[in-house]
This record gives sequence, structure tokens and C-alpha cells, in this order.
Amino acid sequence: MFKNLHYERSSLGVRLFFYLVILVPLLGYSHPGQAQERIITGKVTDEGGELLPGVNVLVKGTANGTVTDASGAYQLGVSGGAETLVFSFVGYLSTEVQIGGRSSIDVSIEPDVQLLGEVVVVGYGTQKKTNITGSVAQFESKQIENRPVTNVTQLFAGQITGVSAPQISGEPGADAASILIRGRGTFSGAGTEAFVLVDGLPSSLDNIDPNSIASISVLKDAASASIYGARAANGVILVTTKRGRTGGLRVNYNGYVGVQKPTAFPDYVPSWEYATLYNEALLNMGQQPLYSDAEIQKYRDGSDPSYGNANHPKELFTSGSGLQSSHNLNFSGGSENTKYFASLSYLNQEGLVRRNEFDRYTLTFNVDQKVSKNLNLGVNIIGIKGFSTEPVPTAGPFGANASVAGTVRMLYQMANLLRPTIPGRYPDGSYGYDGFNSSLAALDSKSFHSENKHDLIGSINLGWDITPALKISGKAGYVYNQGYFKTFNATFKYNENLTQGPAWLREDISNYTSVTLQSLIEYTRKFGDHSVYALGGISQQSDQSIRHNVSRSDFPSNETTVLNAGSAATVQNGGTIEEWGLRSYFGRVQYSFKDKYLFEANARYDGSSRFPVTKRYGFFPSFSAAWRVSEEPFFEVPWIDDLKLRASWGELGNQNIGNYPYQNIISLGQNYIYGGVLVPGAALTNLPNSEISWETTRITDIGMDVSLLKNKLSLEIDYFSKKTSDILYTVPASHVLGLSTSLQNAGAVLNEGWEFLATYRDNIGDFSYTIAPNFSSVRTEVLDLAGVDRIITLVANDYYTIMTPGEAMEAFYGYKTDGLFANQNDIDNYATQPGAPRPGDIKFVDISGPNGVPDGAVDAEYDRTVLGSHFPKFTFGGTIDLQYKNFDFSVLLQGVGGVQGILRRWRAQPFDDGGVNVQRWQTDRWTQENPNPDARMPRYTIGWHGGVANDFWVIDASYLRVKNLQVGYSIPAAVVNRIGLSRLRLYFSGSNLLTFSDYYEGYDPDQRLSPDARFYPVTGVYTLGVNLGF
Amino acid sequence: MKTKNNILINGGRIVLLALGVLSWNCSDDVLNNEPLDRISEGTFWSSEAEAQMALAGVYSHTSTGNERDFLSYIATFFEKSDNVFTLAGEIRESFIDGKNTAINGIIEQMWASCYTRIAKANYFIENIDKVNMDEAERNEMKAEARFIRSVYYFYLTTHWGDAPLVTKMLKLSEANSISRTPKAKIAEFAISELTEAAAHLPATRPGAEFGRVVKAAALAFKGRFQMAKEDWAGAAATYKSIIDLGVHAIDPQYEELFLEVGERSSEIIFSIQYIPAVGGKYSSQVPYRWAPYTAGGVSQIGFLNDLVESYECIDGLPIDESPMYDPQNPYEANGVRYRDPRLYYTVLLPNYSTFKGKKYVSHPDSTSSPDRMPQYSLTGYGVLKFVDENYSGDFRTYGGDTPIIRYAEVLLSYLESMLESGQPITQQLLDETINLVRGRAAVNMPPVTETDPASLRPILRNERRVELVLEGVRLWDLLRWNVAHINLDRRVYGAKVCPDPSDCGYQVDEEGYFFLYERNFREAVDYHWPIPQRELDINKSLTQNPGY
Repeated sequence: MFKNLHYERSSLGVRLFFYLVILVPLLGYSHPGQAQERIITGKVTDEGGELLPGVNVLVKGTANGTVTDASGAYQLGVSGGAETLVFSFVGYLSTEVQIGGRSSIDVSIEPDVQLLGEVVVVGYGTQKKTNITGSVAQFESKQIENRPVTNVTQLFAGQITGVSAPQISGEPGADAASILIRGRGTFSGAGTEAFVLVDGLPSSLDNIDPNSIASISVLKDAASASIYGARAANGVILVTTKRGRTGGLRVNYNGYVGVQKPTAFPDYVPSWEYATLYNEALLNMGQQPLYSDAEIQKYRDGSDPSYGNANHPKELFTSGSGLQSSHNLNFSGGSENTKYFASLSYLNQEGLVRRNEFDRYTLTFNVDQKVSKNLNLGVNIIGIKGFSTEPVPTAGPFGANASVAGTVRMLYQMANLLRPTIPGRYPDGSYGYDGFNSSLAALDSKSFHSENKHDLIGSINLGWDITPALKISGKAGYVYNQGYFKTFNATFKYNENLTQGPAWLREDISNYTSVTLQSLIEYTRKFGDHSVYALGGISQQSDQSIRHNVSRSDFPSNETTVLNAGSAATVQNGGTIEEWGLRSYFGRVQYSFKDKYLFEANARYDGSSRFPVTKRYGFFPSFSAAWRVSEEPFFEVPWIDDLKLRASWGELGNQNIGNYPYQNIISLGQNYIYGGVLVPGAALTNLPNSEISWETTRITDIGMDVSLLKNKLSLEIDYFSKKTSDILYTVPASHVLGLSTSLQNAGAVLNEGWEFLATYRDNIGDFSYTIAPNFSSVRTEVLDLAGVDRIITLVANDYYTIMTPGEAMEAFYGYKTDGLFANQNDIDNYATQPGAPRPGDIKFVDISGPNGVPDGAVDAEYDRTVLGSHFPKFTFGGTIDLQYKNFDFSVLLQGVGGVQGILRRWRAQPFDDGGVNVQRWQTDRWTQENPNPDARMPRYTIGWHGGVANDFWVIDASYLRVKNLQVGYSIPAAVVNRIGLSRLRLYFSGSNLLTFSDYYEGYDPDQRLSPDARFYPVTGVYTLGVNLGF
Repeated sequence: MKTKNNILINGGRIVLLALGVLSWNCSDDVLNNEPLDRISEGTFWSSEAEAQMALAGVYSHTSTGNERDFLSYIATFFEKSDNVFTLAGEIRESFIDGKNTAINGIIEQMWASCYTRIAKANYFIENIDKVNMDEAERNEMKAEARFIRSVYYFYLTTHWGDAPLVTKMLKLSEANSISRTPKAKIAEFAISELTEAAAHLPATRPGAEFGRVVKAAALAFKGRFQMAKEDWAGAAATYKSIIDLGVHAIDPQYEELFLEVGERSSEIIFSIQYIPAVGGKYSSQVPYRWAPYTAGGVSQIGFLNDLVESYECIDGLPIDESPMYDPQNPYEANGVRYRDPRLYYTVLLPNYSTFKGKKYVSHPDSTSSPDRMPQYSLTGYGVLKFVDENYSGDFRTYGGDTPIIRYAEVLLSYLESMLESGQPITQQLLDETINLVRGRAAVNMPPVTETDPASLRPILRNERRVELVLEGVRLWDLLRWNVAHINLDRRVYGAKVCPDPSDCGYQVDEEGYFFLYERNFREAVDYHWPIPQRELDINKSLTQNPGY
């Protein structure tokens, strides 16, 4: 129904855009005024001879044009001077035809193979896949479409080799997966996050709308990433948004509605069982039982409403609807001179918890304008508004200062601190609480935390083709992130005796701006068999972050949640500004001979304000080469269609540390009170390191790309060795130093591994299928620790990790265990243990002693050892796509192997300090009556058996998961055309549907470092959706 | 049209050129960024105002984020003794129940906070000379920093014995290889430091400076060091010099000394300062931790029956000697409160005391009471001392100070030093010391007349116990008297729950007092805490205390 839109009309919209937004007067166009002297007619077909409706037909160099009708025919009046017709259509190469003296011109147009995945987005450009010498993985909109992800990071798991992306929380607005490319290369304080660019600007994946993504490219090796120099050590992710293509206006709507379910959730025992077990713990500790038999009976029979049976965590996580929906409407089209893509998306995610939700609006607008024959203007704008809100613990130890996201996770902690014997509410309406913990009170109160986030990513790019070989371009980019956070602690009445208050409000505003200026010069030339490409560039980035916060208390009511309503006498505020800058010079040279021998060199020279003047600049070169063996005359293997060998080496840097690491800074806010008045204080609290410099990563990559069996099967195989040195690390200091210490360049880590990707495509009649399994391995080893032989770290007061040369990073560390002490006799006949074990306690193994052999005593010096690693040795995945007539089916499998996880504190053991509930699996325990040395739990006590780090809680965290499954049906074109549509597809899509794992019951194996005390389950989503094309 | 196109093309070229020029601008200004909201060390130490800021930094504790600090949470930790009980199995109870290990996280934090405070003092002492200011004032400020430093060495030597002695800013490599200095050497250093500090400190301060150290505070910690090393003559002389200052006196009130209303009493020589503050950053957390559940506290500790029984009757006799004592009515007879009044000021007595107008009900059978034991009142005896009944706000924002040194301690320590040094005990000495303390108007206990040293000793020790309960002295006393392995190696009991122990649903002693827990203080081990395992892992020069 939009097919007959005339060219000028769409151009008008674009022009309006220029007027309004860019403020560049567009003077170069006017309505065609030439007299029409003759009429040309014809038909347009595709490569298979099918008639193509909607093809743009244009007289070259003018705005005069039309589109083909439903039968692929066109009719166009042209002036006497018209020489050439241009035929263009989405997904096809633009074709030019000389008019000559003809009045009827039929053409066949060819598909644009570049759009079929043959072109890969690389740093500062694109490259034909066959010519790539480095290691770049790319996935495209087709692999993203209709997956019900709320965060783009969730798309990565299983899709590409060498990338792991565990997601540890399903909390609306805070459910990003953490992406690791080729293992974690560093134990650095400089972070392990990949460098993300959206349309060439440094950004984050978090709020990008998946609907607007054309492709995601992952630069894995140094050859492909070194052009990003100091920021590329953890890999580079390039997101390219969709752009318009020549052709008539196309309108698409994609939407789904679905529901989220936890992938795993702990199963808790009822109150009467709890009471019995709690008594058992007290008895085990030589104390008196808390619950009498009569009370336990009341819990069991429910005769007294004050003796209830509550499952507070479950009630909390079923209090919300968990509904999720997404809507996307996009418009795209273009003529020879102007192409545009405009998209509007809305995502709504209701939490599993009441009053917890996330909303996101995304607007994407991209325009490409051919200003003149050799001048191209590109404009990209992405605007995002994200809003999340969540309940806040009204009171309790965490309540008063909650001003960060994740308060909903604190509710889980509160729910866990409340015994099942205490009801959420008593019959008289008062709230049950324990140490002020009541998740229900928090839900019912007016307390909230909300986050309003606004992101703008915009750039203007001008390219000037000085000659066909020489091109310069300039880009100005602007990224703006604003966060407006609000935390309100309402007054709340628990019961007649206890009312929390006064009400308190805190607002935080943060503004982050990043300005990028960049100039490129490119030279492309072919001399006979020699092809040369050269790129030179300069760029500069300056960033500024401004934060303010204000709080007041004593609000007159819970409804007035604006600062001015609070008491001015209670104002507390703060503000800070930080700045940093990066200046870079970079270049790339490519040379190929007969498209058979390919060479490439990249280099970047980066200067960062984060380093002292003497260490400020770093140089990051890379070299790569490829040999397309199958192009050689001597290569005569009939079943191999293409064979390419690749090798690369290069250096990358990491500067992603705090902004002022080398300056000696006096900390303010070290205040004290004299005479009842707060006086400002200052102190040196950190020992700076004035010698700090770059962290450097060197990657060697050897790879092979093969196509065989008439291109039905393709294989990509890579071996990589990644060595990171001068790791920016805070070397542990004895507490005796009295100061915290700064990052220093210490240590080296090796990651090496293999990556395999196979793709098999074929069809049997109407049935076509693609099977693409992938497998990656990575081995991580600490090589050096700045001369220290080991660094032992106590993590979150819960468990120990060690770093020592020869082992993986952050390996679990402690005593090996050998089940439980069955009885006193067992203790007496076993090696002496630290502490004073009793029957039912964990048995630590005597590994060694001063003489290198077991000495009959377990002690910290000789008997602690490496217990496992939380970094997977293997990641694997695979996609299966099936298509039969109008039905389609796809499944994405994903998994990790060779990895251990740990469960800690009250997630692992009931009655640990703070935790009170008992999970069903934990009832398999040592007891006086059943002194089973192989029970899953040691004797119950109040307190933590894991306090002495040991492998009792370390468990295999491997899994295989159905990450995504999609079944769709497209209504036949003949039917949908009749109702004015070009496409109508209905589908079911689900994520995290099924997991095979031996991990702890109730916990997702991706949560292998144990969920934090503040927990939100990982969710799976079940959706029904529709794709509409007009 | 052509003209327009040209304009656009040229305009585009200009933009392009502009971008290029911006990028090619060779200045590195974009890379020269200095912190904007913090002070660089290069510009600090230039004025007296900055010196004052640095001094406040030395005193500062609440904003370090490290709660496990001896001064700011002293009472919470030091009453782990025969006075109180915390949840069994709780890590803090392990300090004294024979289960302490080198990976006790609280011990590590206590250790760390000592050295954090010492480093702040060292930094101040090392740099204050850079400031151009009045010499006397400089010396006074330096004395304050030296006082703070010595205070932390007092706690270090008390609990770990030998410890690294750090008197200057260390390099990382030095901190990671330092070894322990013998306790006696540290004491010698601290005594000389405190002597010098006292010489430069004022005896009194104007109201606006309240909270900063005065002369008597330095002398009092000097006295503690001397008592710890049993230099009784030296300690006696030190304490006498505080008395001779004549600026501190016993307050006629008792209860109010521990509340905001009485925090400026001249009896309080040194206290940690708090103010009411939203968010609790500069507020005392003590009442919140100790107040009963009904009143918005979390009742983290409870008194042991042993303490409650140590309060005499108003005839000045212990309960097992006094004819006034009636085990069935231990607090009141014939409408008369016949026990030492400090009992009623200190302990919420079950089914007897009221808090905010409500009777304190803690019997385990009283299922409707939010304060029932053993869950919400650990022992059946709640805490009243430090918990302000008249405060209506959130206890987490309470502004009352925590006293560290009171004149009462000075007088009792003076008497103890005189006694232990073998000086004759006269009635005059008793009247100038212990009898002032117990004779204050609000307490009004009969004077002590016992002058025989051996008989006086237990009386004096009991007086210290009841007078200074919850003020961070009892555990130190048990350790230095070498009785911790006796007093802390036993079964502990809470309030009485059964009139007839033979027919009681609870585990009780022969008089019906509620059994709580069996402590097993190890004589060979627990007099000292372990050096944290983390420190041993980092620094091979450190040795561990025996038994860990």
C-alpha cells in the first residue's frame, strides 16, 4: 500500500530531517521541472526470472523516478537529455542501464552478495570475508531477530566461538551477561570488558535495541583489534545499526508478548520442618532447643494463625507478573541519493517481584545522503530512554542507605533472613519481621528506587572521494549518558510498637559525555595483480563525568517524594567531576597478490591521560598474512572449494582503569566531630603508583578457513595464544601498611586455546537446514606475579582464591576434604584439624608437612591447595535451523565445561549468620542418629562451615542449555498480499528453556561464583510473537 | 541548482577540514587531566587550616567504612567476657570460647583498623612540620596524633602481644616484610610517647574543641600501659598526676553519663564523638545494637547471670553474704530496690524493668512478647546502659558519645596500682578513690572500709566490673589479672526461667537459671589472638602466636 509513494515524497522527509536536526540548509534539490518528452516502460526481474515489485527506477543524476508495480512493471516519463536509468532494490546490487534510443527496457538485477554475510565489519571499515587475515566473528540480524532478550549481551552465548557470556541475574534493567572473549586474559584492575563501539563510537551494549542491529562483529585477535590500540586488549565488539537501502519505503512491525520464569529457584522446607531442624542445630552446639514440641505441632497443623508456614523467598519472587513485551516499528527505504532507516522500539519487562519493572524506548535514525558525486554524508542517531523501578527495603540494616540499583535483590536477602515460622502478616494485619527484615513490608511500603537513564549516541560522517582511489572522511561523534536515580525510604508501620522513619529521599544525577573527533584517509588501488589498500587516521576522545547527589529527610508524607518537600535542615549533598582523554594515531596497510597472498599490517599509537607524562603513549602494532591455497594452480582437491590459511600477531593495550591512578591524592571526607559539630578532615588513604603504565596483550593466531562439498560445509579453525603482561594489579599489601594500594604493572597471564566452527547447509526439496556447531577451549595460566610466588585472596569473607604461577587465575584455594567425621573415633584417628572439630564436621585432608610428606596435622602452610577454577575450559554451542515451506524452526544450544562453582554462606548452609531458611537438598545431613560421613551437609550448626576454605562446597558447574528455541509459521504471500501485507509470520520464541547440569538445586549454573546474598534468579522467557511487513 | 550544490560541497569540505584541524591540533591538553574534587598532595600541607583538616583525619573513624575499629566499636567487642553473651556460634563469641582461628575475619579487620589509624597518625606526624604555624600549637596537634597512635598500640599489644611497630610511613615492600616487635618494647615506646604528648596537651579545652584529647587522656593510657606491664609504682604516679590536675571529678549522676544528655560531664576524660545524623554515618550504632527488639533495636548482646549477681546489696555486701538478698525477689523487697542502683541503670531485668513504659518480658514461655528469650533477648537480661529511653528517633541515628576513659576508671586504677605496689591502704585513700566512685549521689553505696590488701582486691575488682561494665575494660582486666582461663572456661547462664529446677522444660542450673552455652577458653592459646592468616600469607617474616 505504500508502494506508490513517489520518490520526492520520501526525499522531503529526509530533507525535513536535515533542516530540523542537522541545521544544514539543504539547497541542492528541487522538484524536477524538466519537460517530459518520452515514456519508457519495462519489467524488472530477479536473477531467477521472478518479477520484482517495488524496485526503484531512477533517471541518473535527477530526482525523477518511479517504482515497479505488483507485476514488476514500470512506466517513467523522461526528458530528452536523460542517458541512464538506475534500478535499485533492497538486497540487490544497484544496476545502471543506458537508455539509448529505447522506449522499452527490461532488466534483471543481481543480489548483493555483500549483504549475504560475505562482508565483515572491521575496525574503521568493512572487508570481504575471503580477504580477512585476522580472526573476526560476525553474527547478523537474522541470528538476533525475535530472540526475547532484554539486553544485547544476552545474545552472545553460544553464537560464536571463543566467547562466553554468563548471565547471573534476571533482574529487570540489570540482567546483562558478562562477555569474555577468549577467556579472561588478565586479573587486572583494568577490567575485562571488551571494547564496544556502536556505529564507530565508544559505547555500551546495555541499552542498544536488538531490533535495530544489522550486525555484531567481534574482533578476537590482535590483527583485527590492534587498530583500537589501548582499549582492545579484551577484544573489540563492533555494533552496526541497520541502514536504509535503495528501494521503496518498507515498513516492518515486530512484536512479542511473553512471560519470564526462573531457570532455577531454591526449594525451602515448611515451617514445622524448619523448627525441628533449627532445634537440631542448637542441640548440636550444646544449646537448648528454641521450639517446643507443642509449638512445632501448631506449625504443622496450622491450628493457630500465629503459627504459620511462610515461604518468604518464593512469595517474593511470585509477587510480580513476570510479563515481558516488545514492540518495534521501523521504516526504511531510499533512492540513489538518500537512504534512511528509522526505528522505534518499546520494551516492557515486569519483574517476578511486584513493583519491579523496566521500560525502554529506543529511537534509531540513520541517513545516508549523497551530497554530490563524490561527497557522502552519513548521520546516525540513537536515542534511548530506559526506566526501571524497584521496591526498597523499608528498614533494617540495609535500609537507610540504599541508593543503588539492586535493592530488589536485597529483598531476597531479607526474605531469607525471615524464618518460615514467622508469617508475612499476622491476623491482626501487623507485619512479621525478624531483625527488621520483612520482604512483604518492603513490597507494601511506598519505598522505591528508580533509575531514569537517557542515552544519546550521535554522529555525523562526511566522506569525500577525492579521486576513485583516494578518499578522506571526517567524523564527529557525541555520546551522552544521563542517569537520574531516586531512592525514597518511606515511613512504614510494622505494628503498634514499631514504625520506621522518618522518610528519606536521595537523588543522584550523573552526566557522562564523550566527544570523539576522527579523520581518516584511505587509498585503494589495483595494479595488475597487486592490490593495495592503506588507511591512516587520527582520533581524539575527551570524556567528562559529572555526578551530583542530594538527600533530605523528614518528609510530611509518603506521597511527596520531591526534595523540596523534605526538611531543608537535613540536606546532605555531594558532587564530583572527572575527566579523561585519549589521543590516537593509527593506520592499516593491506597488500594482496592475485587475491592469493594477503598481507596486512595495523598500528595504533595511543596517548591516555590516565598515565603519567613519561608513560603516556603506547604503540600497538599487528601483522597478519593469509594464503588462499585453493587459488594455487597445483591445488587439485575436487571436494575442497576454498582453503585459506591465516596467521597473525600483534599487541594490544588496556587502560581501562581509574582516571587518576598516578596522582598523589589526599582523600577528603575523613571528618570528625569537635564540640558536637562535624569538622572537615583529610587523610592519605591510598599509596599511589607514579610509575603506572600500559597493560599489554600479545596475541598470536593461526587459523584455517575451508569450504568443501560444493560449499555445503564450511569450517573455521583457529588456534590462539594470548599473553598479557604488565597486568595492572593491586598487589596485596600487608594491613600493616595502613593504606590501600594502587594498581601497578605486575604479572603476566597466558590464555591459549582452540576454536572450531562448522556450518553445514543443504536442502532436500522444500526442506532446507543448517547445522552449525561450535566448540572453543581455553587454558589459562598465570605466568608471573611480579616476583611474588603466590597471592591468596579472601573473597567477600567467604572463600579463598590463589594466584600462583602455573595455575589458572583466581583458582579456588583451601583444604581438600574427605567427607565428614562420622564420630569421635574418626576424629581421634585422623590428622589433627584446625579449630576443634566435632563429629559431623568436615574432614580436611593432610596433604603434606614440613618434610614434604603428610605430618599428621592439617595446617594452613602445608595443606592448602588449588581446588578448582571458575573459568570454563570449554565453551560450546550450536545452531540448528530448519525450514520447510512456510514453517521454520531454530534452536540455539549453549554450554560450558571444565568449570567449578562454589556455593557459599546461607545459600550453601542453613542457619549461617544472617541466613535462616533450609533448602530441601540441605536436609541430607549428618545427624547423631544417622552419622553419615558422606552426607551432603555437615552437622547443622548456627554458623558457617565454609569459613575454613575447603572444597566441600566446590562443585562441577558444567552445563548444556537450550538457550533459544524458535518455531515460526509464515502465512503464504498470496494470502497476506491480499490484505496489503508483504509478510506475516507468527512464532513462539523462548530463551533459557532447558538446562542439563549437576549444579546445586535451586541455582543456575551460570551463577557459579554463588549468587550474592542479594540474589535474583536467572530467568527464561516464553514468548509469542509476530513479524509484519507492509 | 549547481550553485547550491557547490555551496553544500564546499560547506562539507569546510566541516571536513574543521574536523581534521581539530584532530591534528598537536597540543596534548586533552591528555593533561588532574583530579578536580580531591587535593593533590603537592599542594597540601600549605596552611594551618589544612593541618587542622589532617588532624581531623587522624581522629576520624566513622567514615573509613571499617566498622571493626577498637575505638568506634569498643564496647561491642570488648564485652566479650563474663559480663555478656552474644549469639553462640557467632564469630565474635569465638574470641573467648576456644574456637578462634587465624581466618577469623573480624580479628583481621580489627588488626587492619589499628594499622590504618597508625598510618594516618604517622602521616600527620611526618608532614606537620611542613606547615608554617605556631610552634606550641603544632606540638599540641602532634601530641594528639601521637596519642591516637599509642592508643592503637595499646590494643595491639593487649590482644596480639608482639606486633609490628610502625612509627613512619612504610613502603609497600617494607610493610610486606616487617617483623614483630616485642610487646615490652612497644610499651616502652608508647609510654615515652604518651609522656611527651601529655606535656604538650592542654588540661581542659573550650566547648568548641570538646572531643579532642586532653592531658589526662594521654596520662590515663600511659597508666594502662604501666598497669599492663605491672609497673605499679609508675602507674600509681601517673594516675596521681591526673588526680592532681584537679580538672576531672566524679559526676553525681551515673545513668546519664552514657547518654547524649550527660556526654559532656567532666568525669569523661576521652570519648568517641557522635552526632545525630541521617544515614548513621556519624552516629553511634551502640544503642541500636543493644536496644530491645520492642524498641527498635536488635538486642545483639545480653548480660550473663554472673554479672547480675555481682551487683551488691545496698548494705554493701555481696548477695551471698547480705541478709537482704532474697533469691525469690532478687531486685526488690517491700517496695525497696535493695541492690546496687547501678544494676537498675544497666540491666533490663526480666519481668521487672520497664522500657519506654512497657515491662520487659523475656521469659521463653511468653510467646507473645517480642523480647522473649533466647531468640530476641539472648539471655533474658536486656541492656539499658547506653540505651536512651527518652530518645524517640531511629536508634541508628543516635548522637550520644562513647566514653573510652572515665575519671572513675582513673580512681579505681590508682587504687589498684597502690594496692599492687604494696603501698599501705588507708581509709583516706579508699575515700579518695573507690568510695568517691560508689558514693556518687545517684549510686550512694556504702563506703568500703577494708584496708587489708588481700581482702580489698576482690572488692576492688568487683567494683571495676560493675562500674565499668560495657565500657571496654572487662576483657582487658581478665587478661591482665590472668584469670581469663578461669572466668571464661565455664558454662554460662542467663536469667532464671524456672522457680523449680527439677520440673523445668528448659535446661537450667540448680537454681533454675537458663543454660546458654559452654565456653572453653584455652589457657595456652586464647590469651592472645592469632595473627591473621592473610598477613602470614603475604609476609613471611611474621610469626604466629602459639596454638593457631
